[in-house]
Amino acid sequence: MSRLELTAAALMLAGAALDAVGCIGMMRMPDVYNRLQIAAKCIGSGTCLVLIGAAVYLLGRGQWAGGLGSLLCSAFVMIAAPTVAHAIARAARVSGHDLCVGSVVDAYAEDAAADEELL
Amino acid sequence: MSFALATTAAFVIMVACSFACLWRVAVGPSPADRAGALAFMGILAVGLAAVVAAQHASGVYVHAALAWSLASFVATLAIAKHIEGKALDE
Repeated sequence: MSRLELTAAALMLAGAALDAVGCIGMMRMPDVYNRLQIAAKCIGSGTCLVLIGAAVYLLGRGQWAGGLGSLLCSAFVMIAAPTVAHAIARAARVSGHDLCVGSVVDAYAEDAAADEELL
Repeated sequence: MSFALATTAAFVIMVACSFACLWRVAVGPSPADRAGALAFMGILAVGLAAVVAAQHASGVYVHAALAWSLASFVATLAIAKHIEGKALDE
């Protein structure tokens, strides 16, 4: 295995391991907000690592279009994963989905109460 | 350990992750759970396409991954608006 292949394989395996951690969290966490936050961090950054590994390999093989496209895709996933998790978590809170037992802070309810006092 | 074996291992791990997300889509319990699991299945599919691109040393799969990530992003935002109980332009 050449140095290029070793680097790309290490990046991809690290990314797949991070994805696996995220999916274990997706199965084990107690409520929708916990599940979304662990998925946003672990699956988002794990997939970014996989894409960077593919970009390293393709650029090393002289495939500029594929390598640069992979880097672009990695940047987009880095932006899209937190945005998606935020949108769905906000939708769940607005539609009245409760937090799990043992949650210590609910900033959305505090903000709503402060708005009520102001009015 | 060869490069083909390493990429196949990454591929198998990510397919197993996709099945875990699919289990969450089936079990729920809330609509937000299902939508979130579906969104992250889309992101995992992007990673799978990147692994296949490295296996075949071909840029075609990367372009499929790029299109897939854009489509799943917009679709998930639309589903989130629907869960929130608003129209798409509010």
